[in-house]
Amino acid sequence: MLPIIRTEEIQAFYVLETPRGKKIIKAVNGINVTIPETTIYGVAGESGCGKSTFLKVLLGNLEPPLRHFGGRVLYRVDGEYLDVLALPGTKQQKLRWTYISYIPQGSMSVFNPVAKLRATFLDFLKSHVPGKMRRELFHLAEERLARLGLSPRILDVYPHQLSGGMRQRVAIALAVLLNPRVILADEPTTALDVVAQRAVLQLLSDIQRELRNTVVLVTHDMGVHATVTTRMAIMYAGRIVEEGQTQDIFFTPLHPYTRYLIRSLPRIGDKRLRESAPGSPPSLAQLPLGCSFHPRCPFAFERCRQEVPELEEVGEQKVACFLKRASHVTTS
Amino acid sequence: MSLLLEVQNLTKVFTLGSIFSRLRLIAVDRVSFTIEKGEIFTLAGESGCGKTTTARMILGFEQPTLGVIRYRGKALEEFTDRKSWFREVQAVFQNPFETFNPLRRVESYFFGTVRNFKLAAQKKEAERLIEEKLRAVGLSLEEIRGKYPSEFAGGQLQRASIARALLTNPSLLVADEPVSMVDASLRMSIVNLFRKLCDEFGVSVLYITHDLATAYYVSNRIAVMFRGNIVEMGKVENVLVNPKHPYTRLLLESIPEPDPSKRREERVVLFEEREEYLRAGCKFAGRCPEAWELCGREMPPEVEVNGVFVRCHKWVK
Repeated sequence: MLPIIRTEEIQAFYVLETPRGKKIIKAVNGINVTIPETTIYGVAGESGCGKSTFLKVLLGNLEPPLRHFGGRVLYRVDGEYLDVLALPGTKQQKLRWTYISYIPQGSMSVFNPVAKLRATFLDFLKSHVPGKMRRELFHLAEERLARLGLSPRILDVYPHQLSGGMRQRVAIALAVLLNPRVILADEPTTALDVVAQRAVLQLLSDIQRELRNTVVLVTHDMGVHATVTTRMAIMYAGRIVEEGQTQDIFFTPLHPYTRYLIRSLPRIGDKRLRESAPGSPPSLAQLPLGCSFHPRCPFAFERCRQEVPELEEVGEQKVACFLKRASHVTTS
Repeated sequence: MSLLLEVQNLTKVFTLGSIFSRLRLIAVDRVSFTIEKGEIFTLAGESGCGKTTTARMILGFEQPTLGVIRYRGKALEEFTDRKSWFREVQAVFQNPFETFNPLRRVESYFFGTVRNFKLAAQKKEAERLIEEKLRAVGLSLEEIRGKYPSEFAGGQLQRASIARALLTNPSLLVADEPVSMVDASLRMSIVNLFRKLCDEFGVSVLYITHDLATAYYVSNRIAVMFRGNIVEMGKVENVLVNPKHPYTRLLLESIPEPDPSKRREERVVLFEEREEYLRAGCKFAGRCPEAWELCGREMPPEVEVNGVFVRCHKWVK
């Protein structure tokens, strides 16, 4: 299958001016991924690993202090690859929502707090579609909301009158209204309760199945990845350390960090002691030399302290670790 | 085992709206449970189920509308001052970065607590005590000296806040969502710490969470709350493996399990929170697949089924 998104050595850093001089936070530090079309692609990692920044870069939304330091983000649009970061502003604008759409974590900030939801929907249609299509799309919006268990009456309330789960469903309805080929979702269910979370995940995968588009789902919750994604990437300190089919990541994790992450997951029905990784993640402003995980890695050797491992294929998976296959055999 | 904390018919009513349109919301409705010495007890439920309000009443931050909280047989009101209560019952909060003032050094909280509770006469003695508690959580005074909260990683700071809570040698820790802000790779280190404190020092923990998987891992008994009521209570092995209440079952079925080979296809229905709080009868009746006419009319009594307490008409003989 042809990839729909390809990134090449993409680098984006936050540059902060502090009284003690410039501070550079390497949030996205050389990422190469290929995202196949019509999949739900997961990006996992802990808070502060750069996964949300990576999504912003995919969206082409680099605002200071976040700056582009190199690399390309290519989208396949009508058979050719376009670099969203090199496109002029107006063209980028055109792609957004019609080709690429975005579901943020806190859906409160998507809607205008002092306008009824109907106004937000109309505004959105006004700026993206020609006049005669608007009415039709508005009906489609109402229909979609109905399928999400929300009555059209909901358009006549203010955003704060809805619960988090309802608001998130409305945000999803808005994001998929123009049938975008790519949906970028940043922790879409993190603020929700488990029951609401399950409903939102159901919806997201239903829509993906029906519209056959591609969803890039960023979340720290490994349970969510296991439930909906087909492929996934594990991020650590601004880089991707492992990538592959979700099943493979869970059943044969190769990177020592992924192994800690998977093994530490508690499961109902199992009280055996779970170890968590020693130490804590590094600061993105002060990355250690070599592999960023080496200070916490029990298998680290000399080379890990000097060189940064590249993401390389090992069977069906990709892993950025000098031990690669060897470590997999010895410890599993 | 001996009884440490006893909560009986604890109720909290909040009044909403203006004086013209009063609305009474029973946030916590006749909640009763006990915690034994050296036990980890989980209070689980979704947001808005009343679990945090219950914790706040136990900590004395909120006045109960009704009900009694007894500690070793002595009611909370009988404690002459707050200090003697807090000497025994200490709190651990959700976000360690909010627990500590960002402009104050973390160590100052430790010395402050020592001073407040008159735990040491001299500085040397205070330092020895602080060092001992920090060691128990896998830190040392050297590691935290001179540092501000922002210089810590989340997991580290949460361990520091637990060490601070341990200074008074409390017999009960009330931990409200202590791991939900902690990084995934470090989450288990905090949960394991509760296990250790319980096994080695006999500290009891009231663990408040929405995460049933860690609840199963760490606790002995669990109470599942829904809209102010405890709907099911018993050993975790019984409640979470063989749930009796339809709500517990829904909750368990909704957890995204970290196992890609077990994907579920059943669908869930969502209802609004306020609607459920104000419902007569069983609060869960509106979306319960097994509800019948009686459920919408009458609040089910608590019945015991194989050692598990469950509040559901289905189990009333």
